[in-house]
Amino acid sequence: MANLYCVAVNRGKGFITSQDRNNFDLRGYPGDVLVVEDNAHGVAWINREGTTKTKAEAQAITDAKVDEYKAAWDALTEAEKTNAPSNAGANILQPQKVTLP
Amino acid sequence: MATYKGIKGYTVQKLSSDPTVEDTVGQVWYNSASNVLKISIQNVTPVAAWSAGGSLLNNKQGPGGCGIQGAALCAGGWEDSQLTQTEKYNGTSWTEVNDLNSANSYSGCFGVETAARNAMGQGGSENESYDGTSWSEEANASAGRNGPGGVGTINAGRCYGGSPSSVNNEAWNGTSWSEENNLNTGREHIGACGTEATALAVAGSPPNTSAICEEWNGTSWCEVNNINRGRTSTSGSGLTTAGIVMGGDWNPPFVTLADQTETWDGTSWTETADLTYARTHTGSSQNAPSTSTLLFGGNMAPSGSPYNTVCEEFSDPAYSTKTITSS
Repeated sequence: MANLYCVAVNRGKGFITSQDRNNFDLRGYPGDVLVVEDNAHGVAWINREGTTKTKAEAQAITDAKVDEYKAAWDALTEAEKTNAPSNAGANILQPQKVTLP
Repeated sequence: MATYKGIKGYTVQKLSSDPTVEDTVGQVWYNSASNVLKISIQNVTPVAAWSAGGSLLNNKQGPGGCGIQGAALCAGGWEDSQLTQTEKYNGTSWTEVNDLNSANSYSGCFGVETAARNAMGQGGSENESYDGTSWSEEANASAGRNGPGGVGTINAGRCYGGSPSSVNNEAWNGTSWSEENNLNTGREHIGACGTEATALAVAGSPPNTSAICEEWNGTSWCEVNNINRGRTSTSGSGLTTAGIVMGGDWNPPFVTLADQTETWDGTSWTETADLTYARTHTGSSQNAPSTSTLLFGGNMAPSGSPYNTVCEEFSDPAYSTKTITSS
């Protein structure tokens, strides 16, 4: 499946409808990046809600956002990391790079 | 040429708005407001999909959640510390309402928007009830447990599991908590479906790839078929005959966020429409049916702090209204 890439800020209700989801596939990633199935409905949705990006541009935006998350995580004390409820139990893992499909 | 009146015995009705779909399956009408011909149908193949709901007012992960898709409650949660914030959803947008008395997150939360309970969690053995306006403290649970499964109504509820890898199972009768038969496998951050009388404990951790599913039959917990994608920190809703779990994460070697949604038919789990935003530590409209539920908040890059306001609505209707076109 070919993909399109865009940046689109989730504005809440109506941003993505059930009909949209039945017409094309899409996935959201850090940095308001969305990967959209390349068909006529997907193109129309990007024109309605977002700004088209190349894959490289979209990956750079997501990388920058994950780097922000990592920096924030690294700035925590060991105690804060241990007590963070989202840590992975015994395995304290920092936010991971996301590779766009 | 055959006419509609010749086949059906009456002409196509002209209506200014669509009738109730469940009551009109197989019927055709002309919608005079939109100038189109429409028909009500029963969906033979699933049309399940997630769509965008109104965003939460505040970023948070691990909130308590209950109610139904069009009338949900989001209680507490975590944004670098535990929260007391409570938000209500009306099917379109969230409104901030009176706070919890005690900050809490990763609680067992159940009931409806006008009569709910938020118990245990990071806040310890706390137990608060909500009357649609404000929260009141009530008899504490025997022990504080983080991330229990929670199901039921304000006066008939159940919390099970929770950290550290607890097997405990407590029922609330409107006045006090009582210990009942334990889970077979201790877990925390459990996905929960059902009622006080019959419930599911889905996945959870440790390990963070657990696929175990147990069913409470009113007396004891029995192992039933595993979920397809083992994970922890899912959210659930629905019943033991028609349940749903969504989101979560699994690890190691690194945290992988789940966009998977799985539905339970009383016997086995089936993958259905994926979330748009894979995330973990979400809240859900715990008491909604599996065909119409809500998922909100969560974390998109754990173990970090990108808590979010994203809200998604799941819909898998049995019936649909279709516009008739020449194609």
